[in-house]
Amino acid sequence: MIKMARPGLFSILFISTLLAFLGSVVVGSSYVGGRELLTVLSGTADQTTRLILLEIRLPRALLGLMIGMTLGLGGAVLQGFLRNPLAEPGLIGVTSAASLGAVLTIYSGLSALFALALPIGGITGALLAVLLIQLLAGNNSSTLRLILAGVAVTSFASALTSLVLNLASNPFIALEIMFWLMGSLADRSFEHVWLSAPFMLLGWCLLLLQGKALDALTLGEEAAQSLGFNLNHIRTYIVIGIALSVGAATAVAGAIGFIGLVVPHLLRRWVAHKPSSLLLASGLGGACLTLLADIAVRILSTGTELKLGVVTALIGAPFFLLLIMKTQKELQ
Amino acid sequence: MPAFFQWLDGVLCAAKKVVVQCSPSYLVLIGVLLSCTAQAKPQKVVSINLCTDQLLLLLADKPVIQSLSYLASRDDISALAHEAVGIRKNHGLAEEIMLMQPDLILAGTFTSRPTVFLLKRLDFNIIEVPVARSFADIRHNIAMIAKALHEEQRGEQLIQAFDTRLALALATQVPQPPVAVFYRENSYTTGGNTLAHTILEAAGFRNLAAEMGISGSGHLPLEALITQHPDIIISGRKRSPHGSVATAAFQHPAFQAFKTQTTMVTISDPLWICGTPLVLDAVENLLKVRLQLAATQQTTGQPTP
Repeated sequence: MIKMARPGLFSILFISTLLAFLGSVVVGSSYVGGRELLTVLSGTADQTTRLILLEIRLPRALLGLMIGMTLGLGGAVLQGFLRNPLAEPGLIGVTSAASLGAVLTIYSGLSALFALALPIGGITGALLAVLLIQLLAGNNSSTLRLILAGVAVTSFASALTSLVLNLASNPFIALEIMFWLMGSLADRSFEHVWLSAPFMLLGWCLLLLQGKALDALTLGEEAAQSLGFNLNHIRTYIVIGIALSVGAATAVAGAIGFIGLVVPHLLRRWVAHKPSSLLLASGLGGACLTLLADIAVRILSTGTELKLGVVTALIGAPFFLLLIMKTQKELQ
Repeated sequence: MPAFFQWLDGVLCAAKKVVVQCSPSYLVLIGVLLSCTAQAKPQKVVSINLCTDQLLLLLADKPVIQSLSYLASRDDISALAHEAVGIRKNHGLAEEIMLMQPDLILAGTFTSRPTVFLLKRLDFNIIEVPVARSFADIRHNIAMIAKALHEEQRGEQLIQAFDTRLALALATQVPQPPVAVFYRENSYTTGGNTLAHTILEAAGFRNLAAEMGISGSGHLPLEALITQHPDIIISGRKRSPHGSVATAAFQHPAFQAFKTQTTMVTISDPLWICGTPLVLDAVENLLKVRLQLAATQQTTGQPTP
């Protein structure tokens, strides 16, 4: 069971992600679907159909793919590095800081001026958070300090976000902020894709390169150090990688919970509990799950769209509980 | 600053259109110039914001209105809910709006930002109408939408009727304006620099919250309410028949006791939400309250403390 052929797993994940991506392109609030996609591919589609598929659905599907990948990968890296099954990409404070940065642009009215003001604000927030975390966690390889610094940054940024909501002098602003915080991919454009893609790609590279170190860390910190890994450097790479990718993801879509927590757990047993193989698997799994959740958002909604962050949490929480109970049974 | 960006956006957009449309030949260029001076009147207009819904209903012929926001026919928030019946509703999603192929889209500056930016990117003719905080804003918004609809004359008429009616309301002033305060669910109050404040002042009241230094909306502690002793308390219409946590302050014994010593007024919410000429209904309703208040004070001979 455990020694399942890994190419098999990867091809399953790859194909299901591809199918979910296609699904995300053909599902929407209007009639435009699979048949229309074929007309676009053959070049016979009318202008409206082309615009809907290529300018509304395609960027949305691409963002779902990239954000899901980011969350799955981020969760797997942090769970491996901290050797803590409860770690998730938001743990080190990047998600809250990016949210704060984005919310500030809504509050100050900057977000009303041009489309990218909000995601740029979010990314700025995430980058500032990294500086703060590095400062708080110090030149120290202790994972405990990293977690504590993350908790401190998270609660501080959340408190400031609440303060902004509290100070919003106009109920329309408060409402806009609240809706944004729930996380959504609705009506994002290619501008959002181009802005966030470089950050996410750079982040992925940094994170994927840590596979070997994470494998060594399963033997313990000292063993990893004796194998020649500098834990300080590794921690810095991971923090920066998470900040770039998860920060950019949050900046364009808001906070989307549970993907980064659940997906590594789901897939760990299929990669023989090897952190380095889990990274890519978890990234693909995250992409697949996010795309499916974003399809569910559109199918379940009649009229006003549900928020993606709400749906992932609704699906994720009971599923996670089930997983915990199952693991417990297996241990007994 | 925002005005500058809008201007810049406008200039760039116009430049782009001219370049795109004029490249084939001089004939086309002349055609474009002609069509620019006498652009066609929008025939398919879509609104995705509750307030632009109402202004659109006031300014355009019904056949031109292709769709309104789904809130437009809710009579607890829209003052023109009845007029909106029978018109197709939208939920402010780019996809459904695109399929309607509108030649003009009306949006608010705070609604569905990603959707608005996406529609702009796809070269839809979209105007963003700011939130009205004063009567001047209302006039500005009417003129803005009327211009986009090519209904300038109708806009002028609407503004003129508005001004005449407003002048009439402002003419009935009594020397000592009573003090009023908004006190709603969650001890939510409305201070200066808001539409509600403008309405209140026009009806000849002083706004306690604004005098306490609250700008925009804010919270009024129960204690402050009781110690400041306003002449009237204005609350919204009851929403939930079974009460809610938000209305807990209304059940508070201190508030119940205080209520008997002051005048409670409930207002019709739809008239207060959006900056349309219908706010004058709210002004006139409040004027009646003020005249009643003055009458009772005269009969009891008790000036307000």
